[in-house]
Amino acid sequence: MGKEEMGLRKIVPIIFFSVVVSVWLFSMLAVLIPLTNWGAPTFPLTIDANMKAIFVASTVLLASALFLMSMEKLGILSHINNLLGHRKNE
Amino acid sequence: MAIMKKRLFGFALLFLSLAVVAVSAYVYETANIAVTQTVKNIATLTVQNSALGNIEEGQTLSYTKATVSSLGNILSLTTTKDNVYLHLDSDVNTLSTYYSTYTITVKYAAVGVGSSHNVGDTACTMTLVSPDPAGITLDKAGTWQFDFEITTTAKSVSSDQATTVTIIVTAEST
Repeated sequence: MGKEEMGLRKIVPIIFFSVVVSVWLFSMLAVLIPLTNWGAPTFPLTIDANMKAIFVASTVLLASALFLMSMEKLGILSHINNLLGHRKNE
Repeated sequence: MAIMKKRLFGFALLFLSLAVVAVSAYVYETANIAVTQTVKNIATLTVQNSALGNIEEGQTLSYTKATVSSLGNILSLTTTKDNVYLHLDSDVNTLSTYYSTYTITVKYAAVGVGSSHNVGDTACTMTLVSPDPAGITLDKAGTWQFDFEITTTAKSVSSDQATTVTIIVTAEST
């Protein structure tokens, strides 16, 4: 495995995680801002259905990514990998 | 020590993932509740006599946005559907001790496109005997703005009196 490929393997997850965090924050603000009393009041309130879908999807992605990262740091992920490796060998 | 730090970081990430789920669930549910609301408190307006200036006993004075600028566009609302009802509930009746006349006339300053109402028309009137007028129908979606015009006649009082009228504005959709 070349140095460039190693670097890419480290950078890609960071970029992916940064994008997911940005999308989550942006979509959360897009859903939250109409609920606040900033500016002229609007009634009945409408929130773009696509924005809600993006918010839910980015929440799932971000929570999953954080959960997997925590499992990796706690050593649980490598333990599962080892167990699966043993079973394959058997 | 390094393992301990790694584990602590792991627990922090686990807590963060749970926090993301909790915050998102709260925001999503709050948004759902707000979208399905059929009645909403739009504003609470207060009119203080100190903002209107001096009035002598028995004197009748009228105030418009030309004389008191804050009475212009005092209420603004953007509606996203036709036939929204605006209710104004005031406590102007509590001022009958100090005024023989206290009339707040609400006029359209901007109406939704295609509305049957015209700018400058009277939307409703609040008086000492009728502090809670019938609802205003905002028949077309769009931006609605309202001006206030106030006419007061002061009664005899033994000393200077500070008075305040509070108007609660709510919107209702079917």
